[in-house]
Amino acid sequence: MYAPLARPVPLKRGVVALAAALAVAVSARPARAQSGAHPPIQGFDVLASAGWGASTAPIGDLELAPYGASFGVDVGYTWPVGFRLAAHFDASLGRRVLEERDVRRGRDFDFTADTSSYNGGFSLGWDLALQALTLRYSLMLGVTSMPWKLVGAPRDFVPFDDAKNPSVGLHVAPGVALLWPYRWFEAGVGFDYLAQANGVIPSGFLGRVLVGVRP
Amino acid sequence: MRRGAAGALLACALTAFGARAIAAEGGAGDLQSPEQRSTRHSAYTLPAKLWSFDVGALGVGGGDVVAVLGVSYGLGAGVQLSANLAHYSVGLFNLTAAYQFVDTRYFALGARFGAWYGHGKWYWVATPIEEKLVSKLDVVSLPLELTASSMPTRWLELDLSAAYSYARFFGSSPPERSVFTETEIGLLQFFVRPGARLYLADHTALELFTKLPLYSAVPLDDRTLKVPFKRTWTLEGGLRSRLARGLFGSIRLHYGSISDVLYGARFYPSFEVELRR
Repeated sequence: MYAPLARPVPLKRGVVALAAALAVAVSARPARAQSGAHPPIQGFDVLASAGWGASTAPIGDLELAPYGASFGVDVGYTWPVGFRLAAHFDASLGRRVLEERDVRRGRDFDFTADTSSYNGGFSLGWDLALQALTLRYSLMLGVTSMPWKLVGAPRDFVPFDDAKNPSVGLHVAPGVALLWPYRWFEAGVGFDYLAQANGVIPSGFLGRVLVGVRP
Repeated sequence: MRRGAAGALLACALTAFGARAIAAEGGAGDLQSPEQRSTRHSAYTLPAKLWSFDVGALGVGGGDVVAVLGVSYGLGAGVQLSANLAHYSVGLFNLTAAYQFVDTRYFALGARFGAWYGHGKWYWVATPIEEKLVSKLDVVSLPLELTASSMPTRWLELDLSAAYSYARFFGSSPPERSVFTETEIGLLQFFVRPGARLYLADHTALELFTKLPLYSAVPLDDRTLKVPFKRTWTLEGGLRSRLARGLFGSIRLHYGSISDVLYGARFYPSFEVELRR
């Protein structure tokens, strides 16, 4: 019923087989060209980021800047379909903001609100090949910790109701990044918007430059 | 000879299969195809017998404010029904019917008619003060929208909507500001919304829209209180992509006073995942 596996291949059949292989190879080449010569998106990647973040709203009448210069790391795995699961950690140096208070009773005073922030958690994402680039959608879910210090404020001045130091809250952060993968290296730019659940921590917009490896 | 013919047949089959594989890869259709094009702010509706399930959060429009758990269905003949079930859970009952009555290669026209009923007593996600304000208040809103969409090239879509929303409060005297007016569900409003979609690839589009209300007012018992333009106009930009077959993702950034009222910042994001089957 079945032909023996080790039988010598006649010339005619060899030519036909070669033609078949060539036909498959030729037909497969445009398919590869269509996908934009993009490296496979599957696998682990580690990204380091540096950027700048800005608060998008004050907390009551208090301007806080817990983002500013920000540095982070993101480690994730992308499945062949494009789904990516990652863990992230960011440290934002923040900056000092001079506040002026004109009070009805007592003397007016100025003070400096010095805040910074740390964000950590996991992120759900999706990678898409966009020509030679990778478009990455992400949704980070995690915790933000914001240490704060009011320099020069009177002792009885209460900036927030029941705010602990550091203030801790959950965040949801949708973001987009555009990456250029080249062999084991990748680099790009992106942004994340940290929507904060704790009313004491201002939400913020972070723009980043990303550099990483795909081992 | 028979084996040679079989080999040739195999070669042809493999070649044909290869070609079909390419067709399948490129022939998944693009975001402008009827099964994949966005029905949000456009004249288009879902094709017949196609379901759409949306999950999203942090939106600012009347229909997708705060949370989206949407279900839509294409009935055929350009008719689509949709509802946001997330709003049902807080006593905001809604149903929207859309009808695309002009569908040519370059131009489409569609109309949307919504019916909203908000039962203030069941609105449980507000602060205690807001809950007390709306607990004796019901609202009916009837938005009507006419949208023209045009795809002049393979990489561009232009949309223009003109909409009027009728609203009326029932129960106790409505306050000038309540959760119903802040979310614009309880506003009398006429607005235009121009927008554009730039198709960056067959699976990704950049979307830009602005809502420009020409008239906004709160219908009080004895008068209508006009709401200034600066409190009602919005701007949004975002990306929409086909993540996989039948699966779409969007991330948008919004700017407007309504974002400030809802989330405490004028500039705010929203996201959405849509499954079509």
